Amino acid sequence: MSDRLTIQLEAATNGFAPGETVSGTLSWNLPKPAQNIELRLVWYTNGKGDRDVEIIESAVFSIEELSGTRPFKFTLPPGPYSFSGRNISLLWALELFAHGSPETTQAGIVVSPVRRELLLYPADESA
Amino acid sequence: MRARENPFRVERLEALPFIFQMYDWPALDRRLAALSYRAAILGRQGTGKTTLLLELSRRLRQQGSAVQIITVRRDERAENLREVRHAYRRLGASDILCIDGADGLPWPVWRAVRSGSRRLRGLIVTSHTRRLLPVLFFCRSDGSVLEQILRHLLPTSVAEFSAQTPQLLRRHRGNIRNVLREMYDRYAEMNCSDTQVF
Repeated sequence: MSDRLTIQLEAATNGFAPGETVSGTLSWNLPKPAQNIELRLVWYTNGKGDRDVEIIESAVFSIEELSGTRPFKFTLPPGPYSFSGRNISLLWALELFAHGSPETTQAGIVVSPVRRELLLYPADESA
Repeated sequence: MRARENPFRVERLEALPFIFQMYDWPALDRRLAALSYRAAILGRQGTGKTTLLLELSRRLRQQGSAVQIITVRRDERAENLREVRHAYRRLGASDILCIDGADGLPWPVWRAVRSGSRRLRGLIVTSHTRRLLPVLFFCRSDGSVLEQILRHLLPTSVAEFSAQTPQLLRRHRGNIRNVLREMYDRYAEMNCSDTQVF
């Protein structure tokens, strides 16, 4: 994580429903010039075993200044939903990179119809 | 307990530093240079080959090389070939190709990879066998390595788990990756406030 790159969401919450728009402002303040910066909307799994990652959308911004800001907007797909069980969690995030630089930062978001992470329970206990 | 809160989750395991026994990074850097950046990291399953390769690749990137890592999937021959071809199109004379599990490549593909790598700065692989490239480092696992990993993962409650390490290492035949997966389950059971099962 870096304090030289930041992602500021427009919404007051980080919970979103599928199909909604995620918008905000990204900003950078780099010690050395970078060709461009890239913002990705991704989901990934975490827990036991290997990780799955999928990049849903990506926006590349050419930058000439060492510092600045840009607005961004992504429309969320129908799924998958954010969830957690004992062995696997599915997490959504916005990831910001400066190409040619080690700087990176991430902002976690939650995507589900109830705008909260879904918890998985055995069928006989979820009724 | 949610998977994303388990201290043995994959994200934390991937971020672990490689733990040397009687060796260090300057010595490894010297050996790699002496081998002209064409070398193999050897060891049995779960002894830290991939961890070492990932950390080495980060260090090489910091030194200015473009590094691409390919993970060989034993049952996906076409995908492996596609990744190798893609890497060779992208990489140039100052770049390094890393292949995790290179002994899983079919022999003709490996020969093509090795031959094609002459135009790159380097080719570093992990393997279970010695026949691919000169040995850069031989990974071994023992209780002290696992103990240090546990201190990274559980700085405040390492004692609860460290007592189990000799028995678990024996059961998993030195495969630290599998030991950590079993510890994932044990930690989840010990901290089970609800009953998620997936």
